Amino acid sequence: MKPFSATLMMLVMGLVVVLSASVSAVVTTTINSPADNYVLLSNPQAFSGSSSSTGGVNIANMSLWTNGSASWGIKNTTFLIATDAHGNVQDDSDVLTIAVGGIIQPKYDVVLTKVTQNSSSTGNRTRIWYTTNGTLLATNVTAGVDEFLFNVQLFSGTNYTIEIDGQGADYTGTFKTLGAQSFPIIGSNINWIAGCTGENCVGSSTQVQTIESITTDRGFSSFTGSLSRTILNPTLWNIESCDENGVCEFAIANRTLYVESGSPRIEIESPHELMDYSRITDTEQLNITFRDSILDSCWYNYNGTNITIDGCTSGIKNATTFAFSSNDSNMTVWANDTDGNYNSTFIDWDYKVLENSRTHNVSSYETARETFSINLTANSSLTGVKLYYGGTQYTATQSGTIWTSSFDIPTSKIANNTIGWNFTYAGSTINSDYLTYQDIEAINLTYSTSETPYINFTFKDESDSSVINATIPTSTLTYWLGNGDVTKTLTYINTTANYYYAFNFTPVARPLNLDYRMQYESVGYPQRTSEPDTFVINSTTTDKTLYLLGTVDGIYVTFQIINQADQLLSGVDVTATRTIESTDVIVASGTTGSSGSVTFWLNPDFSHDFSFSKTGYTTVAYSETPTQTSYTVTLSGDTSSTNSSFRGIQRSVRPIADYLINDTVYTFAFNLTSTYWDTSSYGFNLRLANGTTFSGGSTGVEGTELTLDYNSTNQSVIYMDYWWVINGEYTNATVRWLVFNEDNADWSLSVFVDDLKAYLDSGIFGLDSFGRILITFLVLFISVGIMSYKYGFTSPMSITTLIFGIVFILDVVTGLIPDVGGVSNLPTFLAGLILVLTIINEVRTR
Amino acid sequence: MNKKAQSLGLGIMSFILIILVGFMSVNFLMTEVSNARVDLDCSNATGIEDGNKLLCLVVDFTIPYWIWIIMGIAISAVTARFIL
Repeated sequence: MKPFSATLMMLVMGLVVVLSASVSAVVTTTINSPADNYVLLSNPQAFSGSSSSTGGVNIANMSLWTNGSASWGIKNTTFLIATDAHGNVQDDSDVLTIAVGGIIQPKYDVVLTKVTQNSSSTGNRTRIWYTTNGTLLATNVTAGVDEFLFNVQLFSGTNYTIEIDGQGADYTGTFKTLGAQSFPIIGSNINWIAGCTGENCVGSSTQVQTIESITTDRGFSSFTGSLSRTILNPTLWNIESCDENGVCEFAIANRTLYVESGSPRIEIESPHELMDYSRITDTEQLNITFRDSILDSCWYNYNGTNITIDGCTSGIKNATTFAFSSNDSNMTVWANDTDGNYNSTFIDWDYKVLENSRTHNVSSYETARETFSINLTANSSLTGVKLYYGGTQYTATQSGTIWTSSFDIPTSKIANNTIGWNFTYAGSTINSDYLTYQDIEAINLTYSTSETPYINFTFKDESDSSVINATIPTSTLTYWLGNGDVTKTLTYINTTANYYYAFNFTPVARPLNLDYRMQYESVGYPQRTSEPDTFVINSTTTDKTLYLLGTVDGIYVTFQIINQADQLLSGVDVTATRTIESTDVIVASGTTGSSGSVTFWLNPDFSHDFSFSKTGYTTVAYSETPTQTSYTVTLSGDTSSTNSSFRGIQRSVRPIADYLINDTVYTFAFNLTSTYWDTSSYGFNLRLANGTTFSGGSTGVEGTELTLDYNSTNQSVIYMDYWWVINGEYTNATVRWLVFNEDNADWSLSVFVDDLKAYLDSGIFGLDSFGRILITFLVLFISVGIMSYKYGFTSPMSITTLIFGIVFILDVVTGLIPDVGGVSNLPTFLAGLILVLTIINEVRTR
Repeated sequence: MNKKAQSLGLGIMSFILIILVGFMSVNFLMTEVSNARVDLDCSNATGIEDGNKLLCLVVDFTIPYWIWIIMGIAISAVTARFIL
């Protein structure tokens, strides 16, 4: 190889080596905290940074640089790796060399690799101990060497004692301990004169087996550390990392630290401008943070009173509560510092829903009618309120500021039920975080032997009014406290003849609605059925006398009830009343079955008043002595063909619009009232095009609007299937809304029309009503002229059609033509009328 | 196949081509129209000059007008061959 080539090759290889070294050894420094432009609130300020190195070269140290001027003024390298027992700072090189042994305390986990004794020493054994308990950790016995090799893991914060001795009669393992010691310490074989702090072991009278150095390998390729420094002025700062090759790198950008000065800063988290919900009797929480390096005191003024915030500390959020006053939703927060600087912040807040009060009984009974009211302050965005009672949702109706929900307490709610409310506000749901309770107890009607029952049944012979005993083959007593939406039933059977049957009610002191059907009989007396209308009983005993008629005194009389179309009527209530002991007594009552008939055991010797009634028919009542075994009664009124389940039914459906917009929350609502039928229940479901349904609920209370909030998302059509039940007859109907996607409507012709309307309304080129009409006339004139001249539109039909079309577009579509005489779209009507007359005239003349 | 039938087929292909190309170009116009409306502050009916209002109306009319042009040209491509 020629010398030049060899030289060039070496240069290239050298360059490669240099480049490789420079590429492989990269140090990266990252600042963790504080952030740039951070305002220092208290000293000392902590700084944190991380460094990492690549290429197998470890981190040697990290330095914090601060100055506040154009050039760095202060460097602080305090990211230490280890200290010895005397607190001496060791260097930061990768290979930690502790100048003189003794007791060391690694600051980080390291591996002890080598202990070197002074060249003048002749020790042949090195041992490592746990300082605190003297436990031996490792031993290396090698004669004639100065370096004792180890591979021992040392942990941070732990004291280790390093000792070299002669391993013979001359030396024993003695070491210096921490703390105050009196020297010399005289051992059996070694005298430890003093804690050596330097290689010369100043102060020692005897230097025995001096440890030259201790070598560890910490091998940190990444490192995170922090330190604190007092900063008094705005400071530019950065962190620098160096690896063991001396390659150093600052973090990518300097940061600035400001020092708080002037008035304290006040940062309010809550209350803020518009909050969801509160109560006027509630406590409100003030969450606030003050920042000042010399913060003195903090307080707030609410409702005319200054209230001190105890223990306010700079930079730490304070949470304090205050009693909210309904007529005062603002306050001023103050703070000062020890320099006499004051600052204040005014807060003014409001609530979407403010609860003024709520009303309900604290206790009640099952089946009782209970009303729950809540008085709210809110704007028109509050569109719905729901009551959550024991986990069940009920819809509330609005009357002014009061929303009310009433219902009969279900039998499943015997508990201390939680009462909460939620509010539909601007399409979102807000929950009241305040709960009240209502304790519900059970009610029971039971057979009783009490002397003061609620109701007492006795029996008499209809012929002579003598008291007789009777049995009850079966009876059903239905009872309730409220409106009858929720009832309880007692089925009672007693085949042993008794002169009376008493029933008592618990709890007492509540009027009770009772609807019973009782079959009763006695020996020599055919069975009769008593089924009166619902009546109220209370703690004052109600006596009910039921009459039986002897076998020899009566006959069976069958009544068949038909309508005007001679159709058998079921469900007709029939009663037979007789005057007994100057009192009108219902001696028989019943309801026709599917055969349209009912049979009574009646006395043919006396006149009876009969009554036949059924909903939708005119009640028939007449007096008759029932000497025949059968009678036919015709009820006039609605025939089945006219009893439409739609009669008197008034339905309302929301949304009112014919179409909906995608990705919009709508409240779908259905309400039903009836002026004719008594509806058992009604409700609705929402149905999507793919068949998915959502229940909108149901109710039996007419006039109750059922609502369901649903987001139209990307549906193309939404159906509402609503239904109602009348006397068990199910009727349903469907209404639908098309859902329009407005994603691309921003470029449609409607934007042009909307803008044109807006510009005309706000004024453009000074156009007034006359100007608009003039433009309309010009458009008409030019259009008709062009069409006539160019295309031969000359017939009255074509011209009036063209005029109508243009007027319709300008009037209805664009709104260019102003209202004439306060009548909307009058020109369009006139043009349409002329067109119709022209058509009629055209037809008439042909 | 006679000449008129061939001409009709060509007309239909031209119709489809014009519709495709024309409606693809609408996407570019949509962005420009949106930007123009924002720049002109077209939504602020009471706060912009009358000239800007007129410009806004022209901008609003761009997309519908463009679609009409495309449809007109496309339909003409077919009907012209019918007539011929």
